Amino acid sequence: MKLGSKLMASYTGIVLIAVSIVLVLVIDDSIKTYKERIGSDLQHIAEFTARDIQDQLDNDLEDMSSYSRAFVFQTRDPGAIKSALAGFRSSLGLFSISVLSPGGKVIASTDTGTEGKDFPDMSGISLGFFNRIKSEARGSVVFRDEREGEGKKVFRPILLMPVFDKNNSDLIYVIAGGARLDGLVNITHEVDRYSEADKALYAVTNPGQVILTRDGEVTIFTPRTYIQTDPGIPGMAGNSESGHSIYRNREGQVLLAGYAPLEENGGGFSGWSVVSFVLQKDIFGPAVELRNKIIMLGIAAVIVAWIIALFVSRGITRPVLDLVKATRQISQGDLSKRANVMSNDEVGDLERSFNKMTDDLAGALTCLKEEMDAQGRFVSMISTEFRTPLNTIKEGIGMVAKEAKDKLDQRQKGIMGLAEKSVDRLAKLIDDIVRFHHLQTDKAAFDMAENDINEIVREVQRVLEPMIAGRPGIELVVDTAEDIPRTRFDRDKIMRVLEGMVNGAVTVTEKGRITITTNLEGGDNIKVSVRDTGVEISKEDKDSLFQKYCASGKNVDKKGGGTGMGLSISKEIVEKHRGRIWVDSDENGTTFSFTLPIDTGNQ
Amino acid sequence: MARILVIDDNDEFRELFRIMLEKSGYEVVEAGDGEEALKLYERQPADLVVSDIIMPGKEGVSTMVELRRRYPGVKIIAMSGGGFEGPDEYLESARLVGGAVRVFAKPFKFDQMLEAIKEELEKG
Repeated sequence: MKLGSKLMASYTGIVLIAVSIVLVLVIDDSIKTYKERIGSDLQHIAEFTARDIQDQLDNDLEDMSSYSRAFVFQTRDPGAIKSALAGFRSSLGLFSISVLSPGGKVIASTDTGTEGKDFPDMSGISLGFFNRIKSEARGSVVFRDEREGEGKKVFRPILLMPVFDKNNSDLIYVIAGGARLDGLVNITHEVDRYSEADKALYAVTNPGQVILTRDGEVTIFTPRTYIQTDPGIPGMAGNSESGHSIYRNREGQVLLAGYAPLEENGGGFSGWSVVSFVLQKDIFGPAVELRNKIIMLGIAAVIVAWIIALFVSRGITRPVLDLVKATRQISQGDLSKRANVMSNDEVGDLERSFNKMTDDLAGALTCLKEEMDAQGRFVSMISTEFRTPLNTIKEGIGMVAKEAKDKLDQRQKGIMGLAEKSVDRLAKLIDDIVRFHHLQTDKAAFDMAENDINEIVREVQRVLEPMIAGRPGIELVVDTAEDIPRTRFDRDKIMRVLEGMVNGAVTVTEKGRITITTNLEGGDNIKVSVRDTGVEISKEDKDSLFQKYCASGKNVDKKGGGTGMGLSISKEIVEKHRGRIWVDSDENGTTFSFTLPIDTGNQ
Repeated sequence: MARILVIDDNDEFRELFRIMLEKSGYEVVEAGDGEEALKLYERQPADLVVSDIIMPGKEGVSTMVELRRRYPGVKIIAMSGGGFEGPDEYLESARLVGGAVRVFAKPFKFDQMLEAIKEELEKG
């Protein structure tokens, strides 16, 4: 599988996640919008219902008022009153009807056996309350709490209508009519369009209690069965205005509800509301289900995308790590290392290219090595071929000069001396070239052994003493640190480096001091410096000083002796010891330094 | 028994030479280059030196010069296969500068070489 396809699969997963998120957001947004709209509809239903209930109660009161007036003016005889009450009840469509004295005693009633007693079971209507509202000319509605066993409540609206005498000054009776509340809430509004009839409900509530539901049950269960009416949640209690909201009932079901207050009617409806509500899941169930499915799909997409990404990244990172490893090994000189081609994708191509490149590199290196070897052989041959004639010239000149000493004049002797010196220099140059070449091609064997650098310094001092003695203007000072540990290096080669440095210093110093110092540098390096008080070396010369076949400073050349190869050879030697070599120079003189890593050979 | 020092950088040639000389009843010491030869000679002075000319390290002519400087009576026979231009010039150098008593261009017949050695040793 191509990398592109793997990535595409991964991208598809990511796109799926994005689409899921967008869909869920859209669905959530729609649900929110519809909740608002349905809430508002439910509110209207509640408002209509509240108005209907009130209208009906108002009508009942009005009917009772006109009936009672007519009736009361006809008779004051309790027997006659009682016999008239039955017709009264049925024509008003009431549950029961009683005539009460202003003191609250039953004078006559359709409920037999209550005469002469207090108006029965006036829960919710204390005598004080009765006394306060009994004179309300328009009539009042109060609710009687009729208990029917444990936990069941029946609320019955009682219509109270005062009857005054002819002068309208004295209260003669109060007529109490029991209305049918179930009839009131049978008013069905369009709540059905949101839900199945048995699930769409509305209820009349008083503060904190559900009084009545639409399904006809006048007896309402414990108030919190349907709706959790925690204080502070609007709609359940004491609303002065209509509205809509979302509730959670005891079972944790979410309800959408609209509510409307019932207007106070002689105090009877104080704090009562009509609430219409539907279960959210009945309406949004399918939508929520879809939404959850999409979320599941999104999660599945996340997992799939993650797995694919894991495979892709493994498919990339593992070969890449292998490549890195191979590269490191190759850079350390193991050109036989190759990457394992494991996949057929672009990474595989990379590995193949890498292997091809390494093959080429190895081939090129072999060629280069062969070339270097050939060059080395050539250099060796040249030098061998050069030396014999050179030595012949040298020895020959020496001999002739010696044998013909008496026959040569001063000028001829000078020429012979010059010839000898030139041949010497030529021979030395050839030696240097060969040595340098050997160092560069790793042919020079290094005789590594534990040595004391300070001893080398003293040795060089001893060797160069005769030369220094011949230069009265120059003082050679040795300043060695005594805490330097013995370390492994090639004694002869390092000595040659140091000798070369001191020689160079002597050459460029007309008059002054040359100081050889040794000290520890950073704890793991030995530093050796040769400082002179000669001329400053220019920046350009400093840069080219250690370059192969590059002549060192002009002063060296002028004063003779060096072949210009010395520093290049020194650099090769020091670097083969994993050390550094450099030069610092200012108007006060020049310091050549090199370092050797401390290596006791224990590793 | 006369001792002969053979100086040549070619190991096989030296080996061959040694066998031939030992067969003829000489004691042989060998050196691969001039430096080695000088050191050897210090410990085991030879009655005759046979030296190659073109060698890595210290080459033949200067070795001969040095040997003769240190041990003025030493007798040297030089031999060379020559470099780019053939052996003549080198052999001439060995004779005039190095002081070789006889010179041989490589390849040579061993009989002739043995004859020359014998003659030079007899001269004393």
